[in-house]
Amino acid sequence: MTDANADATLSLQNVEVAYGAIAAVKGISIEVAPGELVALVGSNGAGKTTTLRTISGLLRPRAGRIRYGETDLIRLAPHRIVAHGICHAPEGRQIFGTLTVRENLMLGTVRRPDRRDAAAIGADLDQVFSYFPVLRERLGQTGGTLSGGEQQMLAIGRALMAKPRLLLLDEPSLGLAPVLVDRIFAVIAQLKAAGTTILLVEQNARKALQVADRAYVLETGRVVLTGPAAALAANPDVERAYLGGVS
Amino acid sequence: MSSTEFVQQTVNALSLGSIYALVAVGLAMVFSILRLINFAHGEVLMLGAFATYFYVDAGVPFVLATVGAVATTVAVGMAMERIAYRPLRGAPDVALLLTSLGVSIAVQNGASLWFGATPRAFPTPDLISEARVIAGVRITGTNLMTIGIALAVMALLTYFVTRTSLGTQMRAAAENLQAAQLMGINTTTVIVTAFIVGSALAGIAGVLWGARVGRIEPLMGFIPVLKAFVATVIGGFGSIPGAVLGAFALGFGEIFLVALLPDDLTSYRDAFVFGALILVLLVRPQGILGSTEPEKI
Amino acid sequence: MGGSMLDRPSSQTVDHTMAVSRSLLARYALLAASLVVLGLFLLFADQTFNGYRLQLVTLIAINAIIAVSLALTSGFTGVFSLGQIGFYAIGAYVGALLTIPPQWKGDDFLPGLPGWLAGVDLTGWHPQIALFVACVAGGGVAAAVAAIVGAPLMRLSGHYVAVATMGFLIIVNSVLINWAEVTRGARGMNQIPGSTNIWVAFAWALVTLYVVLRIRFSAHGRAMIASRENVIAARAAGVAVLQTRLLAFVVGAFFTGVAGALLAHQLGTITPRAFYFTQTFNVIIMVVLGGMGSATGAVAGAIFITLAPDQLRGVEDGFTLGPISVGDNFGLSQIILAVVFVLVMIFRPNGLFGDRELALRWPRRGRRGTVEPPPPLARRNDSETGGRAGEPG
Repeated sequence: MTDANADATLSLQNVEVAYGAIAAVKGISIEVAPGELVALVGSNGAGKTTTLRTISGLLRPRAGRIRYGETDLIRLAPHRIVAHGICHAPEGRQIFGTLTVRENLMLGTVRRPDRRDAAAIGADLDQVFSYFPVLRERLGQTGGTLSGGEQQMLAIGRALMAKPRLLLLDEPSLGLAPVLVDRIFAVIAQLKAAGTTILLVEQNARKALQVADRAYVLETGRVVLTGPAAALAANPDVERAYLGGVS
Repeated sequence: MSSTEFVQQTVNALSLGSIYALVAVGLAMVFSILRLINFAHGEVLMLGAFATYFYVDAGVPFVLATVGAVATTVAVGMAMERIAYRPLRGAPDVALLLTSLGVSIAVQNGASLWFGATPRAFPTPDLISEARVIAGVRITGTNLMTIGIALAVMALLTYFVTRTSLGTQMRAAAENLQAAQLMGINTTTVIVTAFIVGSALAGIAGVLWGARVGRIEPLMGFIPVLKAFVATVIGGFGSIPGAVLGAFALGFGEIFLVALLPDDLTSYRDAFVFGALILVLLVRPQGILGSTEPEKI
Repeated sequence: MGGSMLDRPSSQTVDHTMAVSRSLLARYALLAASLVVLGLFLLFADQTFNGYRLQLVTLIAINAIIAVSLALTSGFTGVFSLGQIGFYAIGAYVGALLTIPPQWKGDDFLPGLPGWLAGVDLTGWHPQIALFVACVAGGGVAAAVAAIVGAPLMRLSGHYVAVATMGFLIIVNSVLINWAEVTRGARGMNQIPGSTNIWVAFAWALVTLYVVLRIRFSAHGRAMIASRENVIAARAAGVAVLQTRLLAFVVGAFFTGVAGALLAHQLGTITPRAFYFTQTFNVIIMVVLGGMGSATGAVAGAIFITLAPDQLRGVEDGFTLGPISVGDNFGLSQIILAVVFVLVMIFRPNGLFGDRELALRWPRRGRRGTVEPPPPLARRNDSETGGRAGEPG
């Protein structure tokens, strides 16, 4: 799944995002280097999802800069950002319930330059099925008939079909049973091993820190802590706030 | 009602329902993606009829004129989207609705000024409009043409929506616009496509309506679009199959209501239609096939 | 948005209280002064204006009543009613049926009219009293219909209620056109005594404005604004959302009905065509132009919309459709208005005043830190996306 030219770094500098009068993100700076898996952890309302949606273009920041390699992302429409290789699997999965699994997966390919290359698409589909075999079985079913875990797999699979250089994963474990959570994170680890750059937003800080290289801890819209994942996992404050009692 | 009359009325209802369906699908398509109730859709219908009239007047054969008319309506629809609706992306539903009302009134009055308010006769060729006798029942050619064209168009549309990439993108955008954007779907392209298809359908409907009623005048689009709108509500707000279903339900309802009502109440037909609309909105606002549960308190 | 002075924290410095009293005094003085100016203007107009201009001035007042009513019904509550003109029509026809002399509403003309109604003879009464009765009756019937129709409709929202109320308007129109035994159908009713003058019109306008502003700055008004943006939160805060909306709907219908009766007695003749979508659109423009959440803004919008076509008429060639443009006005002026409207929606959807009222603002101190709900037509965010941007998180 990796692109030989995937050497761009994602860089956010002092980004501020507000909903009307309410500031959700108050000046955060984040970097994701190629090949890294960076985690954003923090509790509800910390601004993690807002950050991802700003990167993928659904929201426009009030201040700050967002660059991917040489490209300024702020002025781009969402579909152009996808064309640059950044793909966002949103919170709550948001697969298309009225479309079939196949249609959902194929929709991931609309921005690919090689979308008419049946062989390449077929190979990528097989790749997705190797991560999530159940999707192959459910190809003809509509998305709405899938279970929560299957939908999450479909959401990630759909994102993977876009051949992303940078994958934004928003709360992949949300609402899933522990067994499924393990499965999803196993796949995430495989993706990382295959070289995909990933920015992972997770409330489940324990699992996120296990699989990440580095992490940022967000609280009420600001970065309060950052560092290598192992260091953060061992940090007593982090442990108290985010790792105690979290499965 | 005799059996012959019944067949005739059924054909009549199918024909009326077909026209409503063409308009309703266009409305539903735009609504499903943009949450915009495009009142100006009726004016697109009217312009389709008038364009045909003027092309025929200029000497163009009827069939070619209708093709030209459809091209004209597509251009008009695209212009509307670009000028009036695109700047309002992200505005609340009511703002969009009001703006479409404004566009509708502007175009209605513009047409009245330009064409004059006097009705003109629609130039349906006799070859098409003359009645034929099928299985002992007299059926007008216009009705046959209407039903035939509508069926063909529906078939094409179904193919487009289910089997092409763009059609699938439209369905995705209709279900969840933001998720569609995240997949890299260019929502502007999808929206413009919806307007193109919708306007083409409205243009065709304009020709068929003109043929059906025989006369055209600048305000002719208003009631059909309102009725088509009722159809989309009955069938399910934003659902395209629902729009078709609602349209035929409405067509049958109207024709048979008029046939069965005592004479002095038939002119209240429109009141009954909109009474039905209110009833549906109260009892089952999402319509027969609609899925999005509306915000009800 | 302010609220009553009684809500303020009790720890006041004497200076602050005195400053407020001073500003209160200033505001009352301003109010009195405006009323005096208005009175002088009306006196001047009465003496010097010709019939056409007097009619125009009266129309300003009548339009102001409808616009302010719509601001109450739709602007404050966020429940968009496209059926307002239905109540306008009801008020007009009911008022007319009362004051038309019996010889014009007997069996020869209105055979469907019940005997007791056909017998109502107000010709012997003082015209202003008869007019008052007509107005109250018109408004009352409109309000009653609103109570019945509104009760189920108020639970709908957004474009559902807009469409449902539009259906109401169409039904009213259909009945007016078809129930010819009572309404004389498309030909309309005439022989209505022309008892409306600028004084009574402006009196009603001031009453309407007063009532609506009182509601606006009462607990009910705050409840309406709260439920406009977030029904669930409002409910949770104990707001009776349905009742509040229904109240706004019925009160708005009442005054709109009154305006209808006033109109009928201004023109002497009314037709169903005058009470349909063109007029609906005119009222909407008035309210949107002035700012949907503002009653005084609606007045400004009414003034503008009443005068503009008159001025624009100079642009058209020889379009003399009588002295007043009520109802249909095929012509350039309507197109220009529609275009202006679309432009306003695109560039300044909150109109002139947005949510604010002119000059009658309560002092704005003391309420820091509250996040006010955005005005009704505000954009949700400024990205390119269609649809909602969603909640913070």
